[in-house]
Amino acid sequence: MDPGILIDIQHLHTNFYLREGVVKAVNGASLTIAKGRTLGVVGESGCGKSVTAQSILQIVPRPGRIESGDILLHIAEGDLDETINITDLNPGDPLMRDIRGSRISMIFQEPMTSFSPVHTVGNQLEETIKLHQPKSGDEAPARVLDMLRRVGIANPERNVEAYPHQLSGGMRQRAMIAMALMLEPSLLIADEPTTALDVTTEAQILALMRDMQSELHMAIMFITHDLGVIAEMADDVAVMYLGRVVEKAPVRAIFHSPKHPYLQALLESIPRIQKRTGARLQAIEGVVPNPLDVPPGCPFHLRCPDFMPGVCDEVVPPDVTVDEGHTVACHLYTE
Amino acid sequence: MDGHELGELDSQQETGRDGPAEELLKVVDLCKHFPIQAGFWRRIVGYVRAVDGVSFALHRGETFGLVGESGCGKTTTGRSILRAIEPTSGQILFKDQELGWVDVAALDEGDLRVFRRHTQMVFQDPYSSLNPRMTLLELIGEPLLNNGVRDAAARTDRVAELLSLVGLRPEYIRRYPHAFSGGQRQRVGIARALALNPQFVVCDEPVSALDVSIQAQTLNLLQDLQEAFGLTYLFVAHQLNVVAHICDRVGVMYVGKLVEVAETETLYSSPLHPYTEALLGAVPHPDPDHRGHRTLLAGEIANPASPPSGCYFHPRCPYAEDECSREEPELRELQPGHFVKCHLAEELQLVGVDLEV
Repeated sequence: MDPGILIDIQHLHTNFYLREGVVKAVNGASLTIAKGRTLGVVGESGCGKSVTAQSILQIVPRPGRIESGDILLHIAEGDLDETINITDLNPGDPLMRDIRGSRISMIFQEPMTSFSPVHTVGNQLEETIKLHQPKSGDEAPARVLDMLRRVGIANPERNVEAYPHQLSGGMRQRAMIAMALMLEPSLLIADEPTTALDVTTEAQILALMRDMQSELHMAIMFITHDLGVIAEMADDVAVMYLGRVVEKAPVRAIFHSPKHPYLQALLESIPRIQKRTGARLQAIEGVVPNPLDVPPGCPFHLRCPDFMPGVCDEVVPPDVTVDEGHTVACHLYTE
Repeated sequence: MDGHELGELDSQQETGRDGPAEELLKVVDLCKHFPIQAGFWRRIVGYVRAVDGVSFALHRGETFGLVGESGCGKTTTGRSILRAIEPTSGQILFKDQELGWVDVAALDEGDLRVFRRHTQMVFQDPYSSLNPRMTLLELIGEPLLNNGVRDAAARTDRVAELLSLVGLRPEYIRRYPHAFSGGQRQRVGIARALALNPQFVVCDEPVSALDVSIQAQTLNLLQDLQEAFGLTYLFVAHQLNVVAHICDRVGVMYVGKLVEVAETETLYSSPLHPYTEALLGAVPHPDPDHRGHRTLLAGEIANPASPPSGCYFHPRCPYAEDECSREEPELRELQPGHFVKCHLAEELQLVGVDLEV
């Protein structure tokens, strides 16, 4: 495995077994996360971006289950150099518990997902340390205060005693980031962390995440539907549609030479701040198909302006490399 | 600002437009103060000044945007105008085609029912705004039934017509909301709002909960319907790119007050209020070459229950001077049609967005 790679996901399939049928939430997705870099994962609701993240942490909610595929985690610290296949582990495996929180941690759109409402912020942050590093009990309070200060929480000595609901939305988000970074993980998964925030608070939180990244040299998997935030944060981008990764590239290539018709249409459809012409937006026609009834072939063919009958609706397009580090899963680019 | 002044200002605005735009709605000094109750006796210990003296006018056929951070009072303003929430004080003047100017804030229950035919609302969340136990026929037909369309066949015809108008297949008429995606539900919400041929629609964050590709479809639909029926929209939203696309004029709110009003392009390219500048500076651009250009506004939005002295924005304002913490500025018309509530508006050279990019 390339030493610069932290996480290598190959042909991941995660299914949800519902009474109505099987939802293939992640349907053969492959992507890599490089050490110390930010991978932006972008897609509309139901594209499988969150379930991919949950699969990495083995926290896929029932009735979901990782069906097949590999999630390789590369650990290199001092003499230690090993690769763990997360899909081989049970969700309750002690190694998996160790990975969660200390190697990979996650933040959410709604901070109260991470916090218990009946314990103070300080207690919950301390618990994170004590759980993973039982010997470091005495220094925990000081480390908590230090971390709260680093994430920009005003008056940490007082706010350490606060309950999560007593903090404002932006401060709660900062406290959640503090908790996620307490053990200096090598990967932070951020699932729409700023979607519920106002633009001014969003800008503050994104700046904080960038600062913490350069301080701790961690990789970030940034999940969002907002292409503006992707442009702001990501080094590399994976675009997902109906459980598949349809395009992967460095961020500039994603915005300046998008290849997949879905990505091209998505970029066209965002309203931009520019001179008003009264013109209509270039909307993508139709809706995302029912996940219980995914069309054969390319998942996008029903809405695609470049649809080729007999090809797109029959064969799943393979990944085609169009440039260095730039792959696209579309028949327009196959030989 | 009293009603008299407002009228004068609007006549000036009209000269800058393509043709004389008739006024449809004038909001004068609208206030909504929510009481804060405490203790066993639920004594009132203070007020949240959600909307605090807001005045503006809407022209027939235009889209007026209200933007601002959460808690700034933009949604409360929209709802108070429809009297979905009872305003504390102020006038809401609506131009009725037969009766002339009517103060909606002073209407009694019976007259309010009649007025409500002319005004409707499209909600943010298409999941919670539709009753899951009602079919599309019942949902969209309900306002028709309540307003005297008793004949079931006529109602069915009208609902089918409305469905095709918003781009849904009329065959879906007997289905329930759960069978539809978020974008389709929002279309149902729009069809319901249009059932009685309203003149004025408050769109409260109508695309915020939708996916990007569905947002575009919904915005296009709203524009098509506006052209077809001459609708006037009050468009409440926090996404500045969406507002830039759809609105003719925009008002910026901060802690219950309007701080700037202007035509959309003017507001975005040459803002006069530091808060507008900060909001525009915080918008993420969908272009990685633009990275790092976001300005960071320090601090958090003021508490509307105990706002700061003087200009509410002064604790966060990078340009604030002594005067700003002492005295509250007036909303003044600095350029024709461009209103700003800032002591320093003449002196500051604020940066907007380059619209040519």
